[in-house]
Amino acid sequence: MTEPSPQESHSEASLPVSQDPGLSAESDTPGTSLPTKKGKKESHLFYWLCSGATWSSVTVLLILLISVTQSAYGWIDWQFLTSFDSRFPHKAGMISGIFGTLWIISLTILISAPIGVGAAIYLEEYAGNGWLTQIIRVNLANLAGVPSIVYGILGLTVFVRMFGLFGPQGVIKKWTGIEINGLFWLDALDGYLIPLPFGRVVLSGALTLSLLILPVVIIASQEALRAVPPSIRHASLALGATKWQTIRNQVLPAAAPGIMTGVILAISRAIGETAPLVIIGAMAFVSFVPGGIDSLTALRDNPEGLLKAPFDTFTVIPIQIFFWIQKPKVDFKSVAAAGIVVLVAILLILNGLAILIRNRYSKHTRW
Amino acid sequence: MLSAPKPVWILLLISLLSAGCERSSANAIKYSGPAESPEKAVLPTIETIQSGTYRPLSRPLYLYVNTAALQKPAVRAFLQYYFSDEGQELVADVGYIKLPAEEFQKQLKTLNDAIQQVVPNSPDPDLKTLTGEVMVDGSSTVAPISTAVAEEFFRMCPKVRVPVGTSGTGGGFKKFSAGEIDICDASREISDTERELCRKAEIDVLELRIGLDGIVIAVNPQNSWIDGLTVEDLQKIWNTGSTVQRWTDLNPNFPDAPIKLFGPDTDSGTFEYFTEEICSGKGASRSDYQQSSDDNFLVSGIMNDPFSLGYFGFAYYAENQNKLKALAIAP
Amino acid sequence: MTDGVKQFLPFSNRCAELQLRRKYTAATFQEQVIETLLFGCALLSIATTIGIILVLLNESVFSLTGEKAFFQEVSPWEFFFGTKWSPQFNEKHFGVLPLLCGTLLVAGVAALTGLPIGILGAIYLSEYARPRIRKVVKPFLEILAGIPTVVYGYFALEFITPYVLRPVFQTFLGFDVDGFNALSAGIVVGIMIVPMVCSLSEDALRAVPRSLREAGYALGSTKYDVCTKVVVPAATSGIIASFLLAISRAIGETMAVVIAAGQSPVITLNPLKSIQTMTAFMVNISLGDTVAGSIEYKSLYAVGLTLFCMTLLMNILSQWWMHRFREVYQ
Repeated sequence: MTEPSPQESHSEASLPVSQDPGLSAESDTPGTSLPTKKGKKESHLFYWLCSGATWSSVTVLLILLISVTQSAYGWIDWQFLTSFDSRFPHKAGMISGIFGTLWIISLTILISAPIGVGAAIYLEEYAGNGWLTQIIRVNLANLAGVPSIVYGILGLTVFVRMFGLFGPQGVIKKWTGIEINGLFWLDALDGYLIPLPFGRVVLSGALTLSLLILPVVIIASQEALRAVPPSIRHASLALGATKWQTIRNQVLPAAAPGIMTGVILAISRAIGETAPLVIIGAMAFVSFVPGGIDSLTALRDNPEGLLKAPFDTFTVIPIQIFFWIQKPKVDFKSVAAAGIVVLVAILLILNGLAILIRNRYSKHTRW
Repeated sequence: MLSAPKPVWILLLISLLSAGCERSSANAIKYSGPAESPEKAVLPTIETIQSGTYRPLSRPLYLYVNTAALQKPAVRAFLQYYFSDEGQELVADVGYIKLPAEEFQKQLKTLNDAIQQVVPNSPDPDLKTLTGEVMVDGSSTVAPISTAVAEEFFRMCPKVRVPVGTSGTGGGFKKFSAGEIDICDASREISDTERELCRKAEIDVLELRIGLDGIVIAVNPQNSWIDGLTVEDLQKIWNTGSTVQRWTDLNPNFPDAPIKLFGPDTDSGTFEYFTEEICSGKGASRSDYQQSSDDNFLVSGIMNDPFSLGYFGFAYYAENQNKLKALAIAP
Repeated sequence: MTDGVKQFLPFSNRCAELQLRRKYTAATFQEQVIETLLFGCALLSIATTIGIILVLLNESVFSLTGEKAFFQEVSPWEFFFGTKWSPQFNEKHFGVLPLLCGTLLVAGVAALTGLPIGILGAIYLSEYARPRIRKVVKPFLEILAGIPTVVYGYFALEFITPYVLRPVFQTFLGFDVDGFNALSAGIVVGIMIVPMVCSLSEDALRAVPRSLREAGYALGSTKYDVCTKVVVPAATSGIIASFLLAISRAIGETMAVVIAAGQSPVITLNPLKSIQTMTAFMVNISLGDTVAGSIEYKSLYAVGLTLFCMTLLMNILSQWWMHRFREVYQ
């Protein structure tokens, strides 16, 4: 049997079970000594230990989901999904949270995916092994471990307040007398297209979350790019393509499944983040959705809402859950459980999408 | 590397842990005497807190308004709704206590005077078409009231946006003094440093009271030996360096069991108010009690331990009246 | 040009090279623009770190607003070596050791729970499991990683403490279990880091070439022997790297410990007691009623700075380890 290339150890297929030595206790490979009785017992015990560990974590997840679904039984209906929050448990709804989460996640993906993949491409394809690259690498690993609340504080200073530069009491006004409150005044919006400072809006939250998940995206994309065999790159360069052409047309599509997985894992983490968004200034109670667009008719009547939405006050589902749990009325616990079920459902949909895309791209890759 | 740990190490680990753990106490003696309660002790109810007889554990709840924001018709309409009879009903709905009648009239007059000063003789706006935004933030104690008012106000004026945040009283004042919010919910009065910050930022502050909150001292319903406490008793239990560990330290006739104490964490207005009124000063409390920022946890903790005692806001007691017993307090 | 010089002159050097080699075409210009853009993306991570350091240093070490910074009012000695943390009580003490102890206790329990399960799961998925089972289990693990931390916190508080810990420790063994305790928080944080350890270790295990395994089998070893004595030692650097990453995640975990571990800073090794971690303290102050600008509020930045430095040290350690012990296969 020829020496298998590194790809095969990464591929999904492995030796058929019957041929795999060690699994079946009565393996009888000719020319070798049979495993001893103690060795067989050890082997069996170890197998059960490993599979027990794996299945126990799956079981814990199932217990978690089942206990939450049980509490939420009967509380999830169309009214719950489309009404705003209320002080009455039966009237409470999470539409503002759902739209807030959707807006924040869309903006976060749009911001962090290109930057993260770009940085990963640079680190893998262009960078040498100089001191700057080493610093960037150590830096990334460190950023992945910084607590989310520190990102919240960072986001508050940089995006929400913008170092106190703008606004009627800003530093710019003090030094030059010019008061800058925003860019591009639009009459249609009756306000600035981009208010400065951003304030406690969707965009600040999205930027903060992007910073939070950027290290994860970069590290995962790096791994995906590393898995593409160098022969592909060499072949492309040999045919006369430039470096960027090679990356764009050969390497990226090949690494796309891994990159997708990384982005989706990062987004799953971002969806559940509460602390940084509360510090940024996500609200506990809002009776509107960002931009005022909560249905297709609203979009048709009010298209400038799309431009206003990133600069609108917001709330997200985890924050709603967090505040529902702390309310005195006992029924709010069930409402919170219903919120958790909705959030997990959104998560499952995202993960399912990722797996679909991953499988579709894997099928097309042949080397 | 993956060989099973030797049994010796497991035994060592268990003995180390057990050296640090306490054993849970055996069931204490059942008490069979009359419940103790000092004279002139007052139970916390809506009436006693409103009339002020439940002292000193009732405190006012505040709203601080940026008078410049009164120029916005949305803010005026919102505040006027807040201080209407309907708005006051919501205060009671949420679990707090309405202001007594003359106090309420006084606050209403302060509000109307301030509005007159900023925008004299403004016409009543048409509520259905009124637009605008009212930014509210601050204490998480007052937030339920503001949220309830915002919810009902939304029904009346669907185009006005009233987002309510809960960054805490301190965080709310920070935003207020930066001019980022129009109304700051507060469970305490504005401090001098904060007033100074507002003055430097040229923000004129209007102080309004919207309701009352009571702090309830609660015990488990199975607690049959005590019905009330004096303020001195409370001080003895909660002051810094308190040596009260068992019920017998209070009164030798009580059952001999350790008191399990529950209270809000140090970062809450309830804690500040309690220590200022009962203990020898702000923050002068013992630190070896179960702290939590979520009062629901305190409620469930007291419900599960027959020898427990704790304090928290009235709203959480009102919700769980059949599961807790409130003690009467003699000032 | 030699490699030594190359690392100091990335762009101008390449320009020179290109000018020597071939025509400076528009395509080459485009390539350079793209490379610069991508370099900018990579630099953003450094900008983030600098931003975090500046923001944390701002209120703790020096102050841009002219008020006194934290370390100008509280001596660093008292901060780093004091054993009582009571910033909001009457007698203020600012010793960070109780918070540090709480953080390490929770991280320790999380490591004891999550790392073994993670590595055993990784071994199962890479060595034993059939591809169909892998296809089912991997998504489950990804979902486990995606559940919001608030949910984990409440799972610990409402399910693990009353239905798992109380029966075992209080009723059966007789130990006193607080409503908030470090053990339940540590267990859920451990569950949270299992997917991270599992997927990274599995990648490391799969990168070990089959030839090593087959050599082991050829010599008559059982699967257990091959796994523990050949494959895992060969993948050690990747596994240890995943461990260190998971531990730094456990140290930085915020919401789950806020909800499940409690708010009482004490120095204790007993995981059944209520403790307070550094992150829980930070959340508490940010969301609570502290007067902004006061010394208690500034302690938030000092604690954040300590936490950041801790995780930085751990990660430098892990990078050095990986660099030293990495085994490279062709």
